[in-house]
Amino acid sequence: MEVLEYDVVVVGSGLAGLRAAVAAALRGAAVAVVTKVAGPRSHSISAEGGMAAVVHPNKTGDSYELHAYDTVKGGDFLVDQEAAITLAYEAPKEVHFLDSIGVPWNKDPDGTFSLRQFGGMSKPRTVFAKDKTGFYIMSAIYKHVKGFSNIHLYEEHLVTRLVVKGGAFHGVVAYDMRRGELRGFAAPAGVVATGGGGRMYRLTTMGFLNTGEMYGYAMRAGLALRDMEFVQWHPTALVPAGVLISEAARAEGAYLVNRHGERFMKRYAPERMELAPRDVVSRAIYLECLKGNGFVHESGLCYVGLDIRHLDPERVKQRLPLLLELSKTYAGVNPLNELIPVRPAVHYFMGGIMTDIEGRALDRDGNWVRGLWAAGEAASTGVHGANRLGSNSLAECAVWGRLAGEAAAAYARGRRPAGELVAEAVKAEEERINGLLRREGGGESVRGLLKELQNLMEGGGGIVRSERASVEALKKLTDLRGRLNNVRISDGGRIYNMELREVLELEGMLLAAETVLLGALLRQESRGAHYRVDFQNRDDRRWLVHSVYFLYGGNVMTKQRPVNVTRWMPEARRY
Amino acid sequence: MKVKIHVRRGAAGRQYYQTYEVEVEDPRITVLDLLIKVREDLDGTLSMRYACRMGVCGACAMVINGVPRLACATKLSDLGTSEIFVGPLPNRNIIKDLVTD
Ligand SMILES: Cc1cc2nc3c(=O)[nH]c(=O)nc-3n(C[C@H](O)[C@H](O)[C@H](O)COP(=O)(O)OP(=O)(O)OC[C@H]3O[C@@H](n4cnc5c(N)ncnc54)[C@H](O)[C@@H]3O)c2cc1C
Ligand code: FES
Repeated sequence: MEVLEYDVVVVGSGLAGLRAAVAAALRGAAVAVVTKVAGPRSHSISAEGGMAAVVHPNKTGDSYELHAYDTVKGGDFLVDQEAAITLAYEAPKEVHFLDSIGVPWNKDPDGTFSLRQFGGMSKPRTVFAKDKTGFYIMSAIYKHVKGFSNIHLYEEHLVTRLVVKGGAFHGVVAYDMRRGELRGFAAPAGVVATGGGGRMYRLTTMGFLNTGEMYGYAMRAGLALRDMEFVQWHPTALVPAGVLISEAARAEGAYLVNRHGERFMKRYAPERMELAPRDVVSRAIYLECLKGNGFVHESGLCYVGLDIRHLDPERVKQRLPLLLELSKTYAGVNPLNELIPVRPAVHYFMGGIMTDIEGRALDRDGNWVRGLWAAGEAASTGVHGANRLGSNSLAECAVWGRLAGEAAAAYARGRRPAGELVAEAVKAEEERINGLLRREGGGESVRGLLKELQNLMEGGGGIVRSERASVEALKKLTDLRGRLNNVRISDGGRIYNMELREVLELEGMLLAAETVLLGALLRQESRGAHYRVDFQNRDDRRWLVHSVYFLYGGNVMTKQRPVNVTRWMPEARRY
Repeated sequence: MKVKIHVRRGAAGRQYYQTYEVEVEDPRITVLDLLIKVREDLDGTLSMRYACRMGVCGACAMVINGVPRLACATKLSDLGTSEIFVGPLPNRNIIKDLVTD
């Protein structure tokens, strides 16, 4: 058994994780990045449309305050407003940092950054690199990370446990898939940057590794989650694959039309039309389908058309090359003369590991679990509230990745890793995993259970929710939790055992799913991405509160915490 | 339509072909989806890499009918045959099945 010692251990190698690693390494820390992917293939690589940052306030009459305000309003006032201020002030620095390490941002002829206007943003303030922004960012930062001798990457290592004891973080335990062994990482400071959990759902724009088990593992370690009921559905995923067509398309002027050729958004968001926030547009598509105004795909899925035929083909080729490629490969259409078939799919988790606005990870009482930070999509800093605005996530990942990495390095200075504690945890985990591998009998297949999970999440935690549907889904989930104990792992080996990985993931996913469904059930109002047919209005008197989730005696419990309203009073949200 | 998939499996020095038969409705299915179907319905011990499933990340690169390609961006209909041979990328250390160093 091996326990490696570092100053800072970062879990996850997406934009948030790698940004944290760089920030910590620049402060001299010895950093381990422990991640279940190989190479720069974290889901951040798939980001398309761009990153929000007020880089040229004068060019567009923009300001940091306006960016923060748009974020607060976009989040339906469930946003912790000082977090939105932090995002707005810090994001431009991150655009310049990424520029300095070689991200080929699109620039205008005068040398300034080109800007796109994303949904819910009142100015064009999204910088981009064609429609492959994440690809360029991840390629650049991965290469940059490789240049640091004090950052060590441990790839295809699935972290199965966060070691927390006495209110402090001590390290992690990981399953090294390539060697088929468990490894411990001991460090006084840690940053969790494990991204979202789209694969809890059937239709998602996220990749296969975005399973979201860490939400569950974090609760097991005594951390709290917040606002998990807020799951963003992106309006334009390709039918039937669910591959994302970026909001950049609508930012460049694309229309959404129903089967009568009508730009239906005029009935839902007369001012912003296609560029209303995502929750509004996704709900509109859902309702069009309900009214029979949608197209029906051969798979049975209802969809609407994304129309770019009125745009200049040269400009499209220049600025949206990926859109053309994806439409052709995954839907067999040529967008220059056909409609692109799109419908909503799960895209982003507004909730996550509860942190304060510096990214410090908190327990259920709001106390910092000393030495631990969370950043990126895995975290809930409170910045997105009930609905994230497009292009705010890459900004969030870079901003809180850096803040967390810097703070973690400072905290680790002069502190020593507790190797023995982590060694004990490795031993315990070893026994548990051996038990899983040796388990006889049991007729359940892990992929069968995963499919059931995905279906029940769509039923009880979908675009439109109701008490009945959520209760139903929670019942099915309880049943799944029981059946998880009867899963058989047919692969008897330890090296690259994908079934073992899938079982471990599913354990965490089921806990995470429970928080989503519980929140969907308990929150008796409609706000942002959470829409209840039986409570269709926002209710600030009762529900201007965060939901907090934690484990108590092995069960998921929930409580509420106030929202920090410091600058802008809640107002009606019209677009 | 019945599709035969021959997968070169095992670790370095101990490789063999295993053949799976999958029933397919739509020839526009990707090779990645075919292999996922194999994992889901027939054999969960088959190891391979995939992540973005949109041709961006490169995780699913493998040799398909003699040519290195991305499984998620290669459709059955592109191959013009219902008999598919897949194997790990050449000249690399094989960890297991389609997974290489
Ligand atoms: C298709 C698509 C396009 C998008 N486009 C945009 C855009 O244009 N602009 C924008 O702002 N946002 C966009 N988003 C959202 C944004 O890309 C993501 O929210 C963001 O990239 C998340 O980054 P992250 O670093 O938090 O996590 P990820 O990039 O998802 O990385 C998570 C990391 O955690 C690791 N990990 C997870 N679990 C474990 C575990 N148990 N053990 C070890 N490692 C683990 C993974 O290996 C991975 O390295 C898009 C999202 C999608 C799905
Ligand atoms: S899975 Fe990413 S390129 Fe195929």
